[in-house]
Amino acid sequence: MDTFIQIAINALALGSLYALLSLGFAVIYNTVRIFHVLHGAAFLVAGYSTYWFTKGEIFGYSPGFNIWVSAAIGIVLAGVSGIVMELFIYRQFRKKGAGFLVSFLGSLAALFFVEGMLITVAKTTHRMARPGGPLPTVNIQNEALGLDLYFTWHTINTIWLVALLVVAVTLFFKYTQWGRMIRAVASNPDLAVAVGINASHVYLLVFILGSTLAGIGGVVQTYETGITPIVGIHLAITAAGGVIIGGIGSLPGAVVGGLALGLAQTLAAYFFGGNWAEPAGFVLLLLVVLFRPYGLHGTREHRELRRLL
Amino acid sequence: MDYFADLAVKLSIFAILATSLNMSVGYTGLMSLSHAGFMGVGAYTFAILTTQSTNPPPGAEMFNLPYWPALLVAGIIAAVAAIIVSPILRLRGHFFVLATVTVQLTMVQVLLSWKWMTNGSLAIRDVPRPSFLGHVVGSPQEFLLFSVPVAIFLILVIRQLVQSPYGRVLTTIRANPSVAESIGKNVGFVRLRVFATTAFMAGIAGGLFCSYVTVAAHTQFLVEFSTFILVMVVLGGSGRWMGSILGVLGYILISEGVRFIPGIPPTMVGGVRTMLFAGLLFLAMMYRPQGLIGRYKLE
Repeated sequence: MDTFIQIAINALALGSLYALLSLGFAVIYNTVRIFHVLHGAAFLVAGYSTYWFTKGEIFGYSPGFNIWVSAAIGIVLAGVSGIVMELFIYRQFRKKGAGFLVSFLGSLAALFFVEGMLITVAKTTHRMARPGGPLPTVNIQNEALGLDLYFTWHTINTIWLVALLVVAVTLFFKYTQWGRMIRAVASNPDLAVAVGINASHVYLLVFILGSTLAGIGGVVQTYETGITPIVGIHLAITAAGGVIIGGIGSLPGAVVGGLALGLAQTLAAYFFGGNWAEPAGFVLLLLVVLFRPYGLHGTREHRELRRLL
Repeated sequence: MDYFADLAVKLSIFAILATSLNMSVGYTGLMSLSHAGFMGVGAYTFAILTTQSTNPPPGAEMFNLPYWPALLVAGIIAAVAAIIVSPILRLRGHFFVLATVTVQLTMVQVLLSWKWMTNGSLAIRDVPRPSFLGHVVGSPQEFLLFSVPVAIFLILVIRQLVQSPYGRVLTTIRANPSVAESIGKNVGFVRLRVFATTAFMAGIAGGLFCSYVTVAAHTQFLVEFSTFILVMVVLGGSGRWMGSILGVLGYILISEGVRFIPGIPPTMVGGVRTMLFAGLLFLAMMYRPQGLIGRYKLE
């Protein structure tokens, strides 16, 4: 019983990080319809700047800020990276009328460029934005129920933080003017432009929003477990995987997909050992793509994707 | 002299990789980012089958195959891996690309995690070099005599395939699968055969490669390398077998050239190389999606 609850807590913690990334990916993908692998770069930017501003050192200079200040800077920089991506990469590809493969490869190339830059400057070493050692744990014991659970406060904070962000993003999309504009562009770009919505502004907003969400994920992970440059591509694929598992075109679906990936990885880690966590997530993704390409929670419009796939 | 022979050996091995990937990317339109993974499967198979390693993984002690059969089996196992993941061939567009990236990441994770068979992160060392009449190949010059004929043979096979009527079927499938279907070609089966064939060649290249560097480690077959192979194909020009060879030449020139840029310490070479190729791919996608001598623009 307590193993079950323990797994559930761990899965929820991991899954909420993935859900955050998937949500950011979905916000961008649903509107711009671009396979945004560069999403991983926003994560890296936030993670590495948080690390650098707290305790890192580049070229002998180390700012040594408070963790909250550096986290805030990291998140803002992630949002700025979103602007850069839209203005200097995707908008240029759109202007050239590039097809999806070209923009996908361009996006992948840009991600590897960022990765190469980080490898050059910060090496492939594992970086953490806090002093080493384990985080303080909480132990809940209850004789009557036979409970014996271990978790860190960080886990709990991650879970409620992500829950809060999901609610905030949902409300934003539902009730604000900008949220409605994004939904309009997402559902029918031509019509949205025809009624006077400036699509370029909407795209820019979407990139800022999505990249900020990825940035928050980056800060959380850099604080808890630390990052290396190669997690960029892995997390980008995981985020995309969450969106596809949950169902393209649906924001709640992205969250569900992220949680499902977290659950699959935690279960695999419990039964086969930690090494198998990531393959298990990818196998789940492959199975969903093959047998239910419109995802667990796909909208009706996207069930038609099945014919295209 | 050893240095240039070393480059020539790498050129021959990468040429197999790039030409075979070109057959699937350039001719058949299967934009695969899993080539390094299949190469890794081949390399590990070869290393496990032939190992005389000082640290043999527990599962590998039951095999001890001679060199050439092991190389063949390496290719076959890579092809089998391709057939196992072949359901992804049903996917189109970026779903297919995503699926191949997933397959690539999974394969590397499996190579890393299956410690019983692959030694995990310890890698398999002392993979044998080929031997001829009892003489074990030592220097890169001697290895050239083995790798170049294999490369030329495989590239000629690919060239014959893509220039034959079969190659025109492949080009038709890339341009318009419905047309290929309407003239009675089994598109799914052709795709599967191309995917498996290219994985077979990647496996052979992997076997040769790990026999040359005498170590099989998962870090040699990461998704970055898959992208580099794709860069060779795309920059050279997809849909032209000469293009891939040009691409490999360019790749080797640039990746060796990085070492001679003054002011870059050796520890940074890897990062700078990644940046340079990523930047090149990006510029190519932006300004010349058809590559140097490519036949068509990517969609």
